[in-house]
This record gives sequence, structure tokens and C-alpha cells, in this order.
Amino acid sequence: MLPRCRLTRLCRLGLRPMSAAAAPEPAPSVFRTSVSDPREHSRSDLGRLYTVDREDHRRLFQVTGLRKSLSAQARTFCELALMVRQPALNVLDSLRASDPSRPSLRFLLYGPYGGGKSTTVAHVLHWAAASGWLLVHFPEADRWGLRFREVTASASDPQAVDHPVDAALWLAHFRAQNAARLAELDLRTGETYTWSRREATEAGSPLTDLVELGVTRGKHASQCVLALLAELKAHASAGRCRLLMAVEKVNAFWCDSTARREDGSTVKFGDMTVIRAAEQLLRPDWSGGAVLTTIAPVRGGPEGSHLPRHQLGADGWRALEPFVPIRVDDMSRAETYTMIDYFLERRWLQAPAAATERGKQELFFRSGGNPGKLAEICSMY
Amino acid sequence: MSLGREQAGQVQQRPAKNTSKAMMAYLERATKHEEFMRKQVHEFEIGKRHLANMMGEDPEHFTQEDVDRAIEYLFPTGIFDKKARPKMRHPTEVFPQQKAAQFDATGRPFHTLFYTLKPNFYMTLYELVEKMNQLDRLQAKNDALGKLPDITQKLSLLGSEWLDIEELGKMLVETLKEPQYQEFVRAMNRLVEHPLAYHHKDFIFKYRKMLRVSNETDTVPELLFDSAGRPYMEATGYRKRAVARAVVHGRGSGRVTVNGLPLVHYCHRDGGRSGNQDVAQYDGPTQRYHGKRRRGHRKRTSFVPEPWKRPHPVQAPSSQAGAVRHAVSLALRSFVDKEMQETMRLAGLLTRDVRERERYKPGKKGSRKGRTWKKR
Repeated sequence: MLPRCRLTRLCRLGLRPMSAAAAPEPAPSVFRTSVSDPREHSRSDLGRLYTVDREDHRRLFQVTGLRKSLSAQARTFCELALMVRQPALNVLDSLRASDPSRPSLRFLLYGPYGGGKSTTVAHVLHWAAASGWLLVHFPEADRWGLRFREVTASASDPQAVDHPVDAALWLAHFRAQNAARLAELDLRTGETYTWSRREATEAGSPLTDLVELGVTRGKHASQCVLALLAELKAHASAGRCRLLMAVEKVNAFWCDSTARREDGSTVKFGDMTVIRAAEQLLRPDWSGGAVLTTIAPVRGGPEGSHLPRHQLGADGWRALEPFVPIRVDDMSRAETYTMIDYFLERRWLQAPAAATERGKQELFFRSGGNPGKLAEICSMY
Repeated sequence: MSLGREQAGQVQQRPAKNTSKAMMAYLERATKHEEFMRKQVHEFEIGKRHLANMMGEDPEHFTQEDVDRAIEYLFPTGIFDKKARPKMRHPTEVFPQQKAAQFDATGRPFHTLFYTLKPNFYMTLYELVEKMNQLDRLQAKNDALGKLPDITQKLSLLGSEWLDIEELGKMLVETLKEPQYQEFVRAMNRLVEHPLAYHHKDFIFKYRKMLRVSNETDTVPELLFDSAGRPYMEATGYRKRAVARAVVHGRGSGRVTVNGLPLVHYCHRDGGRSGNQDVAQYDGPTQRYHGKRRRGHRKRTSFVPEPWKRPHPVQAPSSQAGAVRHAVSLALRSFVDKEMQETMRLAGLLTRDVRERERYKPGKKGSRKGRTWKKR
């Protein structure tokens, strides 16, 4: 939640960020909960921060996955601390109670900008990983069409579009999140995939082969993603694994991208192989897992209301309905004070006034309880 | 000149022989000025009577206020600066005061302290010291009698300040230098500190000017109460052409909504919200309140410019935020104590920012920017 420039500014001031070894052990305090296993989070942990285990943090979010500001904050504070909030607990309760034989539940997180939707997704991902689920995580769906590194025309379908670099990177992210669990499960491909005259992945090969191929061969990466997700869908439906797909800014799927074909026509998100891969899992025709989505205003998306119907548009609404809408709102006063206490404990807020009741009131007023805004304000001092 | 002198037999020479040319010139100037002023006053009085007749009023009871009103009626003007508008004032207000002749024809000065070159100023200081000594004697007498100073009459200098160097100079008709003025202020402060200073209240206040009290702080409205018994206050604030109506509730949640949206999300750019941060800083317990505002747009009634320069129906975020800040500050006044109200006033939160958009002028691109200049 802190801009990266803040880190360099600290360095310029001669203050080096705490090294992992030098970081003080977080003392037990009111605003923290010692329960670091998300499977054990309950009502009693509401409004308190829990620390994500270092190994889990590295595994789940090393390549990508957290918002830039949250990731910078984790680096500065030498720990990733997430607040346990009601929306996350609601999702976890539903997931725990869900029946794997029934069609997968679809959740949609919506709410004001900077309200904590991505952080909620991170919390749920952590729970899913701890519970042995496989994760298919698209941190920023709009990046595929707006800030992509490279797009090429797809080999199979000339109208479709591949992402050689981005898909490979995503597969690396997938691998980091799921390597251990995949090895345990030992899932195999159901059919043969032919990449070229010389390259093919036979049926019955481990899924990790698909992943490895995609990571190393960018040319086939997008197709690998398509194949991988199709396989995972089949395995989940067959009950061999539980699968959680998390797509943030899913409303981008039904927008126009900034990519243009050679003839000048606009590429829609729906024309992209990787997006089509994800859309396989958005359909309600599989079981054994769940889909967690977020909507957020994207460039090129509809202006105006930030509510689901408006942001998804008619196509997105039709595709996602029925879903469980979950509102992620700004923090309450107590939660805001918890965040401030955390900043104070980490010695981020150093003005003595910040620790006073009056100072906290002012911070709450100025941020309106919005977590993103609070972090932005705190980083200015 | 008394008879005594002449009888004493030419103690004084005749004016014509002893008076130097410089002295003559000076006396001439002084008397000329007196003549001039007399004439001006006479003309002013006649003019006032004419004006009263013109306006159909009674010349006998025609006050300066009536004169001002008459002039404003007869000479309507749109000049922006009030000081540049036509006015008719008493000559003593218009012409700078000059000193009358300081010495007589023989060159003998009238004032005892003439040779200090600033007789009025030093006379004031002299009087001041006299009064100090008098108060000391009085205090000694009171101490002997066991009398204490009257606390009820204690001088209150609140709401006034010493005349500044120019005003004092104008009053004394002498140009003062900074060290002299500082000396004066130090001495006056010492006099004021005396427990019995109230005896010379008139003297002290002759050299003090009352500070202008703004109208807004005079009447802070009382809190209203809604059906649930919660206190609330409404106020309207303005900035450029944005109008904001604020409702602030006491015992509230501390959250603020604007047109239904939380403040944080309505003004997504900080430039718009900074004004409201100031309110938060100056107001103590912000958690007591939650506010609702509605923003609108005030219609412009005067000259309408070209279509491409017509005002936008919704004002820009910064002026909206300024209007909201004004509205909220005005509403919050009713909740806070006098000291905080004064702090808010000094911070400028209660003042309507009168800066408006400058008009477009023909031959310019906007209000100031010129057309492209080509050398040839």
C-alpha cells in the first residue's frame, strides 16, 4: 500500500529498511492476531492483522499477485500483514461449506476504489493454498489488454491473439503458487497436445510438463495456459482436486483492449487466448472448486457507477450471473485505528501526533476509512 | 503682543527689521495655508447646502452620510476601487494637515518644545510621564489608606491596537522615525500596565485604534435539533461559482458524504480535497460529526461572454472543494467554543474567497494572455 518511491526516499535519508534479521519480533498486541493459519481465522480475529508466513508469502506472491503498494509495504515492513475482515470471512465460510460435487460458486467482490478487494483476494488465496486447493490467479486481468508486453497473432486462430511473454510469466507465477501441491496430486493430461511437427505433449504426461513448456517456450505459452486450465477444470470436476480461480478486475474481459491487428481492427479481450482460457472456468459447467472475481474501474471501461451491473456490462453480466456479490467497503473506525496502530508499531508513522486520539481521528476523517487513501496519506508524512 | 513689551521701550525690534526672509516666507506660507483651508471649508459648507437643496433635503440637517449618498446618486460609477470613486468630504479629510505658524513675527516659538523639532510628539511623551508619576503618587496614597485598585474598571485592550507609525504621525502632524515610535509604544505599554491606568483611559485610547470586527463572527447561529434530539447545523458556502450546502450532525459517525458519495471518492484528486483537510486540522473532535453536502452551481447574472467561454454547468473540483470547506467551516462554528471559532477565523476558513474568474478582454486570448507576437 506504499508507493515504491517512498522506499528509495528512505534510503536517501540514510535510513535503510529493516533487514529480515534485524526486524523486531512483532510483539503481541491488540491489533494483531497470533493466528497465522487462515484456516483457523474466525470472528474473534475480525479487525485484526495477521502475518502471512514468510514461506507462504514467497510461494504465493513472489512473482506477482499483490498490488504494487501492498508488495512495497511488505518489503518495507519485512512482513506481509493482512487484516481479517468480514468480506473475506464470508467468502471463506461459503467455501468451507461448499459441496465439491455441485457447480462451482462464483463470487464477485465489489466496492469503492482502494477499499480492500485485492487484499481480500490475497487472504482467500492464502486460505485456499493452506487448504490444499490449486490456485489459478490472474492478479490484474486488465493488464492482458492494456499494459501487455507483446501480442502476436495466434497460430491456430488468425483472429485470436497470444501473449508470448506475459503468458510465460503467468505460468511461472502459477508454478510458484502450485508446484508443491501439483507434485503431491500428480495430475496428468487427459489428451495429447501437439505444438508443432516435433513438439507434443502426450496424454498422460504430468501437468507440470505443460507448465514447464509454457514457461520456456513463449511461442506456445498462451496455448499451454488454455490447455492447462482445461485440464484442471476436468480434474476438479472429476473430484481429483479442489480449484480456486481468482480473477481481479474481471470486468475487463468484456472491454476493448488497446491492441490492434495489422488491419487496424481492435482486439477485444475475448479474442485473447489467455482470456478465453480463463473464461472456460468462468462458465458454470464445472464443479469441485470456486471462482473469486473482483471488479474495478478499468481504462476503456464504462464510466459512472462502480456497481457490478454497470461495470460488467450486459455481456459480462450474462456471463457471470448468477454470482454471490460481496461488498468490500471502507474500514470502520476501529479497523482504521488498527491500521494506524500497525503503522506506528512498524515505526512508519513517526509524528508524535499520530499516536494521539486526536491524530487518529484526523487520519480517519481525511481517509474516510478507505484503506488505500489512508496508506496514501500516511506515506506523505 | 502685550502692551508691556512696547511700554518697556523697544525691547523687541519692529517685526520688519528682525524677521529674516526665511522666517517671513514661512509665516507667509502658514497664513496662506490657513486662508486656503478657511476658503475650502467655506466652499464645502456652501456646496453642502446646494447639494441638500438639489436633493430636496433640509440644508440645516444634512450630514456627511447624506452627502455621500447624494454624490453616489448624482455621479454613478462602476469604478472597482472605492477610493477612486467621486466623493465630497470635509477639507480637513482631503488636504493634509499642515502646522499653523509655529512662532510669532519676532521668531519666538509658541510651543515650549519647539526646538525638539517634533514638539507634539515630545509633548505627548511628556504628558505620558506626567501621568505615570501622577498614578504612582495616587498608588502610594492608596497604599497608605489600604485601598486596592478597582478591578471592575481594569483596562481591556482587547479588540484594539496602537496606532501605527503613519497614523500617529498623521495625528501629530509630524513625521516620526521608527526608533521614536518604538519608544512611544514602549512607554504607552508601561502606562497601560499600571494597575491604576484606568484613570487615564481617554488619554490611552486616543492613541489606540479599534480593530475591525468581522460581521460573520458576530452572529454565530445556535444549534438546531432534529426529531431524535441530535444537534445539527446547516450552512452554505461559496467559492467561485460553486455553491455547497452542508449539514453537520453532532454525535455522528465522523464520516462525510458529498452528493451521496463518501468525500474520499467524490474528490478523487487531492487538489480538490486539500481544503477540507484544513478543516479537519482545526476542528478538534471531528469524530463527533458527520456531514452531508450538496453541491450546485450559481447562475451568473451579469455579462455573458461568447459561447465558447460560457461557464461550465458544474464547477471544477477545486472550487467545489473550496465551497464545501467554507460551508462545513461555517456549520462547525456552532459546535465549537469561542477560542476555536477565533482560530478558524484566523485560519481563513470562515472567509468567503472573493476571487472570481477574470473577464475576457478583446484582443487577448483570455483575460491576460496575448495574441502571438510576430516581429515582422
